[in-house]
Amino acid sequence: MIRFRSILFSGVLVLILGGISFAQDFTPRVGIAGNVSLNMPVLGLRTWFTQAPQFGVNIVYHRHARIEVEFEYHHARFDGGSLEDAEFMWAPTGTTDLQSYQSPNAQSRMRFHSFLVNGVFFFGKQLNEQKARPYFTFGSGMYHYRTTETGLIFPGQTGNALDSSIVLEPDGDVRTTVGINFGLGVAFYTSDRFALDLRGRYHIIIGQLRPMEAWGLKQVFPFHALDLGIRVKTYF
Amino acid sequence: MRESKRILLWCMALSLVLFGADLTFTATTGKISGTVRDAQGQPLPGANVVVKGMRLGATTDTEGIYFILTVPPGVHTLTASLVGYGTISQTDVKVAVDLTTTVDFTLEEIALQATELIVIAERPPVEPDKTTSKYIMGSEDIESLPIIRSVSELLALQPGVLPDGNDMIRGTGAADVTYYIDGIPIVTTDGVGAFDRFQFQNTSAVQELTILTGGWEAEYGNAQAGIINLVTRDAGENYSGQLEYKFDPSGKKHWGNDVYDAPQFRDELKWGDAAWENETDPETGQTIHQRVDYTGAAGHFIEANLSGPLTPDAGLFVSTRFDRSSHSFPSSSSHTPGNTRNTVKLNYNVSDNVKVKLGGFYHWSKGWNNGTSLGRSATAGAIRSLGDGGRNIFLPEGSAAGRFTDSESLIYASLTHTLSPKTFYEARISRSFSKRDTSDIPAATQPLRRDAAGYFNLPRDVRAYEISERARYNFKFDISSQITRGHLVKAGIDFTYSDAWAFGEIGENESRRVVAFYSKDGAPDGNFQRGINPFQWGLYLQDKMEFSGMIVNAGVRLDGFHNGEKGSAVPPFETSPMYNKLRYFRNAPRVDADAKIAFSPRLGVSHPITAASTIRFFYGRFYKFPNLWTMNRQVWVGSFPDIDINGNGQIDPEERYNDLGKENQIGVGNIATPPEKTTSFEVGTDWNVVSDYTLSLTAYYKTVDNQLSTGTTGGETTIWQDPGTGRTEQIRVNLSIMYEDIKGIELGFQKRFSNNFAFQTSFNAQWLSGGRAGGAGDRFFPDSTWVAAGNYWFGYEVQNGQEVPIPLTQDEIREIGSKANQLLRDIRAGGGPSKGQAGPNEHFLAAIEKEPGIWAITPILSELNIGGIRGRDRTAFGSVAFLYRTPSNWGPMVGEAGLFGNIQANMIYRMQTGSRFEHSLPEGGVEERNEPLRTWVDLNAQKTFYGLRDRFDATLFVETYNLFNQKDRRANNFDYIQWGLRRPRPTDQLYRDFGDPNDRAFLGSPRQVHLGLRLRF
Repeated sequence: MIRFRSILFSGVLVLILGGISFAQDFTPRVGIAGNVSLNMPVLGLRTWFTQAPQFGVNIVYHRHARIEVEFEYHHARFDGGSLEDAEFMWAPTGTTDLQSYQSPNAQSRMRFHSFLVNGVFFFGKQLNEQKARPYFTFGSGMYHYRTTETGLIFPGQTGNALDSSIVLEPDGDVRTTVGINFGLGVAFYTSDRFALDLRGRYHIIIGQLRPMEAWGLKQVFPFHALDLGIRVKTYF
Repeated sequence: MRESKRILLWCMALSLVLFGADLTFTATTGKISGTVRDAQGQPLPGANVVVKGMRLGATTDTEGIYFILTVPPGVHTLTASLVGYGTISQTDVKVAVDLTTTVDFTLEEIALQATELIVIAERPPVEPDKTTSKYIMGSEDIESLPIIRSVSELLALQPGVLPDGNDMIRGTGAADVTYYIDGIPIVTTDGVGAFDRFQFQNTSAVQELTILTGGWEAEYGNAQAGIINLVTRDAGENYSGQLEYKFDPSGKKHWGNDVYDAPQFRDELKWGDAAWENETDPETGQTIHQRVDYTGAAGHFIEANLSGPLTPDAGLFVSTRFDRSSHSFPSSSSHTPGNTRNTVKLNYNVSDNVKVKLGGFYHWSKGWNNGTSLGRSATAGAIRSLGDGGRNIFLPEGSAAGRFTDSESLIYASLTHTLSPKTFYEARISRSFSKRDTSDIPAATQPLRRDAAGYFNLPRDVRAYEISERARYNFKFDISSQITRGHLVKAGIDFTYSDAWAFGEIGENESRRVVAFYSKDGAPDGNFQRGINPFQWGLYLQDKMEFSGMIVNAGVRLDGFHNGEKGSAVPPFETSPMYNKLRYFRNAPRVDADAKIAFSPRLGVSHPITAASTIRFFYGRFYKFPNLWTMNRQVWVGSFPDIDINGNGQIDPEERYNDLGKENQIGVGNIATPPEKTTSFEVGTDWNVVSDYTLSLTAYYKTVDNQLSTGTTGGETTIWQDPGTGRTEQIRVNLSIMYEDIKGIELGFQKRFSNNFAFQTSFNAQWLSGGRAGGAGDRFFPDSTWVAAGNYWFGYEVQNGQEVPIPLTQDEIREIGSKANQLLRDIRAGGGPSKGQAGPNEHFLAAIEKEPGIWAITPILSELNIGGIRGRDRTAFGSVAFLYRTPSNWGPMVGEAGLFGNIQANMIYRMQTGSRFEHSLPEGGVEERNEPLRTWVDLNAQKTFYGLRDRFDATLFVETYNLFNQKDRRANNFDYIQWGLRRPRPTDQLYRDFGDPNDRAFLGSPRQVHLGLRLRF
């Protein structure tokens, strides 16, 4: 699967870069953008969290007619992780009568703060010659994430009855790491200075969530996520 | 002169005949080739092409083609000229070791070109003649990574190399890497790893660093993991120098609480308790429980180099380094003891065709013995540290185990003689020397002493040390010849002779001591300081075939290793009644170790698909010889008093250690150890994606066999089946029974410096399976003929001050011989193999041919632990190095530079996934799991000021290690997998009362900030 994605990605990159020809009369310009996306965890990360909104701001440097560079910050948050409803098995000391339990006060959430540099490579004709411009985007940067798990009853306790006051200390995974993203989109230019942009991106992030197999959650590495969003750009 | 040249040529011809081939060796130079044409594209014969300032050049042939050999690595200027045509120079021509740089010229007729034309050479986006995974770092690449101050850290940024700085290449460790410095191999067969000697080179002395991770040409030998080739800097045409000082501020440099308040001690620390605080050592009268301000010391680091011409034909480069680091934890002293690393190189151009280089390095350091030796520990009470579970933190400065001094040196001379534009040879001679010396070693280990509470250790004498001397003499002769335009033939020979001994001793307590050593003849006279004299040699022949559309590197190599020392063909002899003391074993039968010969074919093919992409394939077989420690080590254990056998009232030298007996915890050497073997395949591509962006992708597979079962300790059990006592005696021996299959994908993506930034990315995904191809339990039996020949006895008696065996009576011979034969018959009746039919452990078959009457039997296959763990390790690791530099005119102008100009940021990110381990499932069964991921980021920021017309610059820098304060921890237990716990359970009362006893156990250290200044002219 990974090999297939690599080949696909390489092929697309060749096609795009092969078609790049820079317009001689283009004047570089700077803009800003804001984006809202639906952030969907994929593969292992999906077992921990479900889709959630993502917000971001960008500084855009439209360098060539067909290339734009974005400096992006975005914030994503996942609340209500599956750990909150997950059950664990426990039995009183000395018996094999396992029963499932939940932690009623469990909380599980994840936060992302990401600083990315993206290249946007437009297909097709020159700017101003078409209103809708499809593009390919590729980016990389630093992703900071923090997970927090609280209120989980400790399943390793012994005794004749489960003591719900014995909980794991609040803990989580924290890391500032790197990742890449790539995707496709279409920019709709309503004027020289304003554009609406629809984009789908795939993120691969060098991150890890520790295992909590008592609740049925395995270690996750790396993170995969898909975001589908809209961004609004204004050029100066 | 002609006569001497003729003699030289005859000598060379004789060498060629003797070794059956043309000869050469490890490359330290590259090649430039290309064409010279006129404006119409017609070839220009007779044009001169010269390397500026290097006395190197060539003349084009009838097709306008030229090539220049022996070009040092680096960036050069090339000039082409022809009568009637103008002169054109190309600057920034980059040359790398072993590779061909193509530089083409177009000359204008002189009427059209009035002055010399200077152009900047375009670097090829990919190296078309790279036939294997080869990564090159030039001096400019190294300068763009100022935060890196060790060669190992430089290497760790390359694809295929684990980023922890231990030179683990594609799953194989540093012990299997062969290192070269200026073409001189760092010899390891005497048991000293090359890692430290190589990695301690000063980075400012490096001209070029090359690493081969997947396969290497026939010119490189005795390596399984990779080849790392370092070329030190030559003196330039102008005087230049650099001085760098780095300051490491004081502060806590570890995770968790201050050691003197650490939760690991629970209530053993009684600060505020006057009696406890004022308790004194009854022997020394010193107050015991005193805090040490170990966080209060600042660290200092200095590195400097100087380079320049001595005469028009000679130049000198020197580099030195001194490190006075503060310790992270309580230690024997506040700073690292004295140390220095020095590199020197003198290059002299005798004539246009003859160049001589003299060079080498000298490293020296001293330190305190810490109570460990031979992989064993008697640290309690030896030295202030966190040793013995932290109970040593109140020990005084210094060490009760004495001091050590290490020195490493290399001196070499090389001669490069260009016989013709097509042929040159290189001869190198070198001596390297490693020495560990000790002082203030106590006579014996004293009983352990503790404070009144019985918890913290008090100082005691500990006898634990190692001493060794290892000298290696190496001679290499290489010749390269461009036989035809498409064939560059290289061949060579090298020969290494060593003189090495090593000795270690540890008194684990007051009554038990262990010694291990290798020395000449097993030191029968008690003199352990006489060296074994092994020699090894290598021959190779290779041809680099450069055709249009294809480059082929094909070669063969023959290596040999001769131990030079006799050893026991039957390792468990030392457990038998005849030889079970060191003084008896010296008389045991000893046989010559067989010469070890290895033949290695190598083939690499590169096919340039376009000007911007190539595909390559490599196949090769590689061998690594065992070292003396593996082959000749003896290990003995016993109590401290030696026995005065001759009754002269004193312990003579030959009586030292004489009562030591067998030791079954540390494996003994095995002269039958075969070379370890690796077969490697890889296919890869290099692709200049766009502009300065280059992608390298390689898929590899390697299978390694004959790997030693352990390192210097442990080993596999071998058995002496004694017919006289009927007992089964055991001893551990290193056996070559391990194997691994490693496959992976290696990715590199980089951008050269342009538009103010550059980056270099590497990533590896790797899968490893491994296991044992044989089992423990080789059994050795004598038969009746061996017993009858007088080889067997039970005991000794003293005669004239000498111990002599008590011979068996005829009845005893008959009885024991009968038992011996019956044992063999029982084995056969039980279905065991007979002599010659042993299982996979055939290592002893050849050896026991030299011991008539001894039978060696390996357990039958069903008894062996055959096979291994599939998918034993899955590892992903990689790094990103990013550099950004502002243009010199950025910001408001101050003088000739911008206020914000020449500011540079260099960030390095590294990651590696955790190791695999076995997890016992709650419902039963075992599955593989991974330890946690580790990532860390370092950042250098600096501002450079230029002066004296750019002849001088000063750089202020700030370095931040672990920029994001990443706190990763190893975790390989049930609690981590089940509940994500990386600390004690919440039900752990001690944890609730005192906190996490392992609060320091996070990897690396918290964020550290260092400051520095670099001056250059």
